Amino acid sequence: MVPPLGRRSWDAQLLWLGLFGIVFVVVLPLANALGFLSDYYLNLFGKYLSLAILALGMDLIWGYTGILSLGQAIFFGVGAYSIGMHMMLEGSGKGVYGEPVPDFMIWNQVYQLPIFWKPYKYFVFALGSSVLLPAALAALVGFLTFRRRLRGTYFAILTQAIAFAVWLMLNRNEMKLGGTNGLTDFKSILGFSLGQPATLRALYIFTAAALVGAFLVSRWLVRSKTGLVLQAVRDNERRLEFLGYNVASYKIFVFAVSGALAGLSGLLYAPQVGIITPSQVGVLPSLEIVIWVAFGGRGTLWGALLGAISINWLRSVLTATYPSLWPIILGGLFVTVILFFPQGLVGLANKLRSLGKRKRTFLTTARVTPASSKVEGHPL
Amino acid sequence: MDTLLYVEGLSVSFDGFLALRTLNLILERQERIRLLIGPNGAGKTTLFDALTGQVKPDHGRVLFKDHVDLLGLSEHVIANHGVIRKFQTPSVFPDHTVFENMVLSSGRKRFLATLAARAASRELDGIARVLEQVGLLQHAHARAGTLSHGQKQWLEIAMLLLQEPTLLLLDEPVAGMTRAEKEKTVALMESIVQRSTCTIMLIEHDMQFVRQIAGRGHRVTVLHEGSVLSEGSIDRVQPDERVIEAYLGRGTVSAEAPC
Repeated sequence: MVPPLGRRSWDAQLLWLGLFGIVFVVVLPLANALGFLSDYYLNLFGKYLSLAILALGMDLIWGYTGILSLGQAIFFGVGAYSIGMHMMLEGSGKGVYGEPVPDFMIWNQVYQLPIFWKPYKYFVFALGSSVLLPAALAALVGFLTFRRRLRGTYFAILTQAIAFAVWLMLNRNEMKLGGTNGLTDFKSILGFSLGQPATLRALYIFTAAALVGAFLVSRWLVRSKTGLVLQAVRDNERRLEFLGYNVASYKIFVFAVSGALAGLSGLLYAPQVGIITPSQVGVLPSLEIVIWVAFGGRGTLWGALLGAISINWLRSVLTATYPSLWPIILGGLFVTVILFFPQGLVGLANKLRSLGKRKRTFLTTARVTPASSKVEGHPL
Repeated sequence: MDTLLYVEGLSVSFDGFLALRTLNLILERQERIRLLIGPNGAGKTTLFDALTGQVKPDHGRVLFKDHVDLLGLSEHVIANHGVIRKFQTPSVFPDHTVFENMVLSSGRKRFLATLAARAASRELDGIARVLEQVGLLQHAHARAGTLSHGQKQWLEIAMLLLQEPTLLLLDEPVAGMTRAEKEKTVALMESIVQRSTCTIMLIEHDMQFVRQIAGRGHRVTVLHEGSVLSEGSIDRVQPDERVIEAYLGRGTVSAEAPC
């Protein structure tokens, strides 16, 4: 009578994660190095895996805690722009104009590096800024809203409004962040040329390993007592307050963690994709993250992972052939998921599995029935 | 020094309607169970709301253990002072197991503490003991949503007990229970006050249940239109003319109490 603290002691999950880790962290890069997998596809996978980290964060705040944040792309953007600024500075002076500022500033008649750009010369600062700054921003927004008991739809609308405001700001050249063009034309990272397949392979390995790490951290979190509290926030927040929990601090915390994961995602995304623009930071990309998680299965970590990877893969395939149809397909997918399998892919898989089990028990009972009905003396 | 709860001149109004009017109530420390009865709209639940920080009173003073001023404290702070409340409808976490529900209500609630929480064996023993007390030990791993109504109520009481209440406020704990479940609940109330130092204040409409509890020597307070109408043993309260009047001339405060 001393059950372990946690959801279920179902450690097949760790086994699957190990398998996932071996395939994506070891096998794919190895296949790439040996020439079995093209650089293009490895890079594409690197992009999907970095976005899966973003989905994990969304799942923690929305799937587990039930707080719909429609501003996750802001935190993603902070991560991507932070590392982007660092890479721009690493490349400045090597551009067309040979000036000590990124090329786009020259077009805007800026010849002196703006003061807030200066610390981004240091890789460590950029790294911290891409993970800790979004966490701090999320904590600040959380502090201002959750303590005032702003919740539900109001929180969703507020975060969406912030996403819109950030998008508007980033589009302006006065922000000195590249305006609508964003940051692009990255040359190298830590001195390694981004044109080299080996650099991209290393970035891919970091991304896959970071995803496994993020998954492990999220798993530990949702299975801890804090995880129990978070899921209880989703089910009955008032009740939790009467149990003596200061619910606001839990919500601030999980929002900050989701912000940090989004930042980490942006940090890994920008160097691999080579561009970050305001269009990836605004309202629409934030909404899309919700669709990934809903499609994969909210409230399960695998769901977030599968949703992010599968939808982004689908996008790559479909935008190549039917680019104009993609938004309609994405919307259609969302509606289908909400209407027909609200638990997403993972829920669907579970349903199929339990259906299989029920069929088996039905068959066994069917075999037993004639004999027992004879015992009961029924005419049939 | 011996007063557990001191309520003086407590008034609560909703849009001009006086739910509580200068209510006075004293609960001594050695008192184990206090029953609160009264017709609908008498202010029983509002009194609980005021004590637990859910509504802000217009006037009055509420002192807990002679020194804690409960008015103006927020809900979770009041809960951490040991004033623990059970709502009318069972509100357990349906997607968590019985055991997980218990874990949520036991141990430390500070956020950093839960992040590092390793269930101490002392804590697990406590959970097992309380689950046994309410008769839910064999259902420890069932999802709370699958329990019967009565079992949910007991689970909720069990969760409250883990918080080590000094004053336990129960709002209609036997509403909707079967007769067998009600009898089990009477026994549970007795075992709670015997095994701990906690005092129970309970609202109940079920007069049979009230008489069963009050018959063991516990005092009854009758509320009417927001203030105390009568107080004392059941034998003194029941024949009180004003009480009979308050129950709309039903003759006696008897089995067919309004509900």
